[in-house]
Amino acid sequence: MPESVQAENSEFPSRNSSPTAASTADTPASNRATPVKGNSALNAQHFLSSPIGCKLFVKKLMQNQESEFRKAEILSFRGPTDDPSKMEYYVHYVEFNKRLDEWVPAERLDLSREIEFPKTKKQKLKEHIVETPPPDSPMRSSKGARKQKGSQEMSTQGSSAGTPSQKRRLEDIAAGEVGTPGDDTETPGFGGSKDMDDHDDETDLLDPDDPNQGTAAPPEETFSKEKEIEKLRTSGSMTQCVSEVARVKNLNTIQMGKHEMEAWYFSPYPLEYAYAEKLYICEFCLCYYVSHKQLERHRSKCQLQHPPGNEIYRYQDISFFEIDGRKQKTWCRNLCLLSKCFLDHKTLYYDVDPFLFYCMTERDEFGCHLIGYFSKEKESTENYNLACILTLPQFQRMGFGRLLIQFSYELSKVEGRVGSPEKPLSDLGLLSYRAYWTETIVELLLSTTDEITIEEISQRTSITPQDILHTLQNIGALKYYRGQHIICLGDKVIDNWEKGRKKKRRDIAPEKLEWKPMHFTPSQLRFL
Amino acid sequence: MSSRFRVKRLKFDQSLAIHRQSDLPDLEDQLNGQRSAPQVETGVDKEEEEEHHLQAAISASHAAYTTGGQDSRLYIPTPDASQTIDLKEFHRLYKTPFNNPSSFVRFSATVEDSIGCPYMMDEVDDEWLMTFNKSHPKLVLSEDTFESILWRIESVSLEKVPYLETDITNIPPYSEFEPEFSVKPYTTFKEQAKHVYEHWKKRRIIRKGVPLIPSVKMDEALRDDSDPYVCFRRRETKAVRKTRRTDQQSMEKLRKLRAELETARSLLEMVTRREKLRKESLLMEHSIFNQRCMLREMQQQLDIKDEQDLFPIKKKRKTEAYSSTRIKIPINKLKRDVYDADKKSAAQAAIDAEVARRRERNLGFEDVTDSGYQPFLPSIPSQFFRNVEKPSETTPRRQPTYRKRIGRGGRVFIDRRGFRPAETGGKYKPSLPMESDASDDEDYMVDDMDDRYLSYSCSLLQENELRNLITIPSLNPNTITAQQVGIILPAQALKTQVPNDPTRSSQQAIPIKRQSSKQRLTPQQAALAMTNDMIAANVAAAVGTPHRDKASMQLALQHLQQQHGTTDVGTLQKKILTAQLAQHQRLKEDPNGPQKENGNRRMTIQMPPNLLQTKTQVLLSPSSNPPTQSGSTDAIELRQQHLLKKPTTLPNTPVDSPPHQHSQPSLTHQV
Repeated sequence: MPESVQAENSEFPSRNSSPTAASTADTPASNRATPVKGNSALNAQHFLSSPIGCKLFVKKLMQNQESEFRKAEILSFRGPTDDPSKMEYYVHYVEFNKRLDEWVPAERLDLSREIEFPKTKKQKLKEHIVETPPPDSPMRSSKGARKQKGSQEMSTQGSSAGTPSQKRRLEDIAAGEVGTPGDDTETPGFGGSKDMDDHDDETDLLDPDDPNQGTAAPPEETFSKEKEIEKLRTSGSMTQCVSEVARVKNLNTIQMGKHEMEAWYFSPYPLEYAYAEKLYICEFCLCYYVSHKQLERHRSKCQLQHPPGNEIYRYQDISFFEIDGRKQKTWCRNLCLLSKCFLDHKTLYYDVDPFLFYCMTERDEFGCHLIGYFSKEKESTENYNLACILTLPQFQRMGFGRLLIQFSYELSKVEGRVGSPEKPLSDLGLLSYRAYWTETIVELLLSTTDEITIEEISQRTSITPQDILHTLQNIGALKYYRGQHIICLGDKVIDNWEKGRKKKRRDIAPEKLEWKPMHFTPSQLRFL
Repeated sequence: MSSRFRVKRLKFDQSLAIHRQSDLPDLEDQLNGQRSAPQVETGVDKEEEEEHHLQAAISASHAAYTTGGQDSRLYIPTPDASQTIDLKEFHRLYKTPFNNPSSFVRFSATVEDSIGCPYMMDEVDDEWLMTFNKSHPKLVLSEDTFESILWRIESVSLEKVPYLETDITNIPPYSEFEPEFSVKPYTTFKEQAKHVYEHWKKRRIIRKGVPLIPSVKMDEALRDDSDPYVCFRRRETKAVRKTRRTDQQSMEKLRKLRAELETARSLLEMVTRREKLRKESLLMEHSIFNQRCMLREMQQQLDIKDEQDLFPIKKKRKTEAYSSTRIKIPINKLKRDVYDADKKSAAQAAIDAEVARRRERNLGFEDVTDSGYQPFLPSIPSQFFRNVEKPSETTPRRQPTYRKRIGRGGRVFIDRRGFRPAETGGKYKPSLPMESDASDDEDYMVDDMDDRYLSYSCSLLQENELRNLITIPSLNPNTITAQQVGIILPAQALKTQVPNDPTRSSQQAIPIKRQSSKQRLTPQQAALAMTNDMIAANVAAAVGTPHRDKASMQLALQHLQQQHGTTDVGTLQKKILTAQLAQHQRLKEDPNGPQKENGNRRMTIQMPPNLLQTKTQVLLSPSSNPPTQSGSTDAIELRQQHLLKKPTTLPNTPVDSPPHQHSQPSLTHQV
């Protein structure tokens, strides 16, 4: 197995970077692709000869419901090439998060339905001439095209809510595809994710119907890589160049403590450990082994029973430990490797020195077990109070994410500053943050009788004014009434808030926090 | 309501009223406020924002806020994480119970510190070890020892051949590791180490030289950005470096400043401490004083006399004060001093000798340096008075003294002091207020026309001054007319008498005024003539023409005689003679005189004529004749000026001549 894995891997980057990686989904934009219809047998043949980049319907197995066929893109394959039936394909379901990408056996592919073949270079080039100035390198060109298409897609979707795909989604929801009713307050986990580039912000301010928008983005994208690395060097731990990150996850199962979980994304654990059946991780020192014997040996020697730092908060069975990336390199690297498995946009390009890690643990008779953590720049140039945040998957949907977020804002309050999480947020991160912001702001508003400014809310909650605005807009609380702006809390909003409050299990007790902001001299922040 | 009017933009510092939806039944459009603020981004990556599950969750929550959808929160599906391992297995792995400290955990040990030997044996090692232990029952290795030996080999090999994977043939033989196992903890396992080495070598070769413990790729050399496995790169500090020096400098400065401030602060602290103590001691003293007062009162009341017993402190103080002027030398020190006496340094001996010498030298002198009374020095002008003769027993108790003085306009005065004109001599003016300096002198009778004095006083004058010595009638109310005329006259005199042959002047630069004794003039006429003569003489002298007019001289003489009614011609003549003699002497002494004269005379011409009249003068009419020649006809008159207290001199007196003469103002002259 390891042999084949390595072979696969060495092959992988070139395939990945091939122009065929462009994703034109089942959106109107995808009509430009060349659907080959008719002779399905011929198509299947064609597909088997070069499966990478093809899009076809793949059976997606659902946990609590019936499986369905969804359009998916083939990102990789493995197995004996002479026996197609035993081949395995790594598929990315279109419009699903990457964390649901998986290896599927050949029989789950539906070769009888239409297959979209990736565009040839020629076709690609044509499109470029039409839409964008040709970028300088082939690799970038693919990237640029992809990005551009993405925004094109977005604009069409954004402007008309009634596109077929959108409709179908709603139907899906109605069909009860998502979530289980009941335990609701928490969203599973987060991945923070690195902010969109500056140009992304700009484009967002533009009219989405502006046809120039699409063409404007790609050239900037071409030099954003250097820009991004420079940005990563000085700050931040999130990457926005998703294509930089290997697209095929290299780990299957992770055993940590008593839990077993599936990895979500690629993580740069040593190459030899990639594609191992199971990665054993010591719960306390986060050391990783593929051999069970090694784990046993390690456990017999490991003396850690809590994160190797200073405890700064203890209330009930929850403790927070503050860990300096500079002082606890190995531990923090291990943590980052682990969290990369669950955070798509996190980058490990640079070392952990400029970050402090706040680790939340749950205490029991064996020690303080890591539940989640967030990292924070020692000095944020962009006023971020949080870089990455993760609740380990085995502890998700239990309210710990909210605790972590709350704790990060408590730290900001002690610092006397306002802060915001580093962007981009992951989908889970966005939902969690929105929930926290809504809850906090609504609570403040309900307890306030006077008029209030957004600034004031910001000062009292340490949430940035932008995030407050975002939240108020999101809950539809900003109204224009008799010539004046007002905040109007809808009945449903209040209902929701009360419901949530009743359910609340845990809270951060600010008075239990014994913490002073760490100050670093310039030389300490030199990151050598 | 659509956008018929433009909604004002919302600002962050804008006050917003808070309402509940139920309070505002007339609220129109759900969305009408949303336009006013820019739509804030979600912060999610653009591509991901469109993902199915996120959109579903967002719209679901939106529905919950607006229409009250049933299930407000939707989960985004995530891969499975719900599985747990067998609990027994878990407890096998995690068995150390945790003693929760009551205080917050403080921990700084690293992972490396906490996990012991970094090498963890895997299944392959386990198998090998089992077979080894079976086949070598005498060399049984525990797992821990095995690991430590293997780790030793591994770490040494990493040091020696760090890039073994590039060329597996470089794998070092056991001999290279042997010395490692002759040191302490491994000595007992030397035998086993060899076997372990073989095992290690085999494994390493299987792994193509790659180290047994896989590590994440952090290779600096691999600057390959596209390799996703390279992580935790070090940050280059290029951009930061620029500011580093300045940072360091300012750091240094700040540190220094801090240290200085620290010092200042501690100083101030000490000062406050001292002042506090001082205040305390003051208060203490005050209270002691009060107590004493009370005590004294009590004593008086109780009539206790014996103060000594009651004021022990005071007594002590006294002795203290007394002793403060002396140096107490403790006995042990004293001894040492004696002991050290002969060791006195040479320098000390020299100093002592010098002190003794000075003391001897100063013997008989009274040291008034520190005495309370210091007499004032005589004023500087009075210091110029000189005695005529050296003081001796024979001279009267006080001799008259003289000094020469340059007055305004450069006129030369001879001041004298200590004169009391003889009663017989005629006029005596006892107590006219003395001019400035010689005020305290007691006057006594002296014949100031005594030859001795005269000759001395004359000797003070330089020749040219003597020559200018001219007597004029004193300006008194009677002579006012003459004076008035005199004002006009100088011009005439200039006109009439100047035209003389200038060529003769160089040799005979001695203006002489002669007055014919035969001529008889009225006092007014005489005065007029005198004035004329004087001016003419001055002018002539200035021009360099000798002007000999005996007549005017004689006129003046006669006039003087008439005025003062003195008839003692003999004395007068005698005096004049003496004066002439003195002048002669002076001439001899000062050969430079004539030359000087020329230069000086020129100055007179610049004198405004009115000055000559308005100011009163003692003019010694200069006699240019040699003493032999001057004889009886020439006379020099010292005239006393009655009208003016302060005689002035003519401006042609050299300024540089020191004024060492007597003041004369109050003196009356007898001619």
